[in-house]
Amino acid sequence: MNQANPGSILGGWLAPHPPHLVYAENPPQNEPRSRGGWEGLRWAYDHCRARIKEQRPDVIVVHSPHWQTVVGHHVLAVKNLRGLSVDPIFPHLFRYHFDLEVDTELADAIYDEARLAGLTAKRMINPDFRVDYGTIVSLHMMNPDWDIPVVAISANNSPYFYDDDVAQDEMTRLGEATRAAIVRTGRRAVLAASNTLSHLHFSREPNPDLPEDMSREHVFSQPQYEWDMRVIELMRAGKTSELMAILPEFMREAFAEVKAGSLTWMLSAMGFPEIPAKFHGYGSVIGTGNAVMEWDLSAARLGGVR
Amino acid sequence: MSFAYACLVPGLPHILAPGNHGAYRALAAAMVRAGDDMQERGIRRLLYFSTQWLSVLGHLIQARPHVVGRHVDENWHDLPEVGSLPFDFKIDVPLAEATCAALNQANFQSRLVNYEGFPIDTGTIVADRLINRHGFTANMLSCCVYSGYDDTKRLMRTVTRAVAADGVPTALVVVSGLSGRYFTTVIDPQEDHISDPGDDVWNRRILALMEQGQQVELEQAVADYARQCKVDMGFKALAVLAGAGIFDRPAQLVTRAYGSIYGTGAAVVTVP
Repeated sequence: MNQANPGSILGGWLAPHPPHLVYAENPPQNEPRSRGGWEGLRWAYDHCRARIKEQRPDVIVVHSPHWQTVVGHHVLAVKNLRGLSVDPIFPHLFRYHFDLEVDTELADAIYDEARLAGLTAKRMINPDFRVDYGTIVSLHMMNPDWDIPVVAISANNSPYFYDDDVAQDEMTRLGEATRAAIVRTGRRAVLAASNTLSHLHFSREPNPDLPEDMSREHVFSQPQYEWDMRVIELMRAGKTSELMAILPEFMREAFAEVKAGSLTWMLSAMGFPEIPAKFHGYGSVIGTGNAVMEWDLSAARLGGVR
Repeated sequence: MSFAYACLVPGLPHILAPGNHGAYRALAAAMVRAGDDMQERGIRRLLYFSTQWLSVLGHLIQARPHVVGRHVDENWHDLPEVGSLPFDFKIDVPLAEATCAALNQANFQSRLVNYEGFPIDTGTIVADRLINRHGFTANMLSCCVYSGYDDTKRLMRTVTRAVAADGVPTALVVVSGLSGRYFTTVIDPQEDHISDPGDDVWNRRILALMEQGQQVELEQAVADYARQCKVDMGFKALAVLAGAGIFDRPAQLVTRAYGSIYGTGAAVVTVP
């Protein structure tokens, strides 16, 4: 352990990753051009960007459902990764030239701690690897300057092999391992759970000629919306244990993407804090429910919640 | 059947590694042999339907004339010697365009993809490296997650008519696993086996029904099979083959190889 300067988690963000958000922003890294759209969600990320500029973390650690692995939890561990990431689902929206600096010391520590915790883990050290759009979208929306090193963790798809309780238990242990690695390496880290909430969506693009046609965007269903609001309300109220208790039902009823484990991983790493999460925005993307939420641990440690 | 040849093949990269033996080697050898059969029968073009190329808003159709690059699988990036997979496909663009037009006309939302860096799926690459040693052009159709069994059959009838229209001898290559229960920890490849004995029984029963051309029995069993054995994409592969008309002439299918890949079921089944 870095005895002189043990690391800490400054905060965590629910950071949804629809590629539409990057598409709508028209950053130079992304090839397609748009007329905008989904501003409610995109502008919600402005708060995250500003907070990260204030905090200046050493690293952002993201857990992405779109890097799916069946044999254990994989950690990106190549110092520099660059390339073109084309979304296989939405290639007309997302063709992003990425250039990542990975905190490999922390990545290796997460790998070590995961194995110490009895989890199957792997380091991803293949330099030809194409980084998934979930990882890139969440990180871009949080910090478009890409001037902070990152670590990306895969979503082991054990939720789809075991029952939800077993799977979430794995993510809980992975979160604890991540926290131990952050403390041991002395990092000041921000976490990102790259998860949508309700995840049923349209089966056809509403307007193929104009994907950003906001007149065609709406929540998939009222029950999905109500589930999202119930979950967000628990987050806002800081009722984390109650939130964890209803997650399995939320996954079943709203096909919630949190089933992939990113949210559980993040909350576990933060010690399941019973502090109010700050709501920054909610919006639908092809019918899915997405919220940008913040758990500010550094403010909570100082005795208040921003 | 308007396809001049059809086959069901696995798409996991383990079978590509040099020095393999056992089921991996047998599966790979059967795929090479299928490609040789195609060559002998005058096939000039392949149509890949891989359960590893997923789409959610309708179907995607590859339309880039020359698709070349290097692919790393998100799971199997560390496989010795096959962690990075170079690929090089020549696409029959007029067929891609005709297929897309036919599908849209039949009210299946479809879109052409023609982008540098588009991620070709592992299954298609694995199949192509083993089957396509003869320079066939190779078209690709995505697997829409939300297309049900009957819709997929109907879709494939439309695709089959589009393929038949220009008279080019074409083989349908369906890339899919059988039972899908992976080992979730690191295993020694030499000790690989179907992870659940019940899955093995089911796989063999389904393969026998396919060989007997028992389409009705297969379609009655497919939902149970898919649920109990976590079959790759609910065994949509059967709907693809049925929609392409492979059961129009009974008892035409031959199982060339069967075995396990990382606990899952895999078979090479050909329709000569």
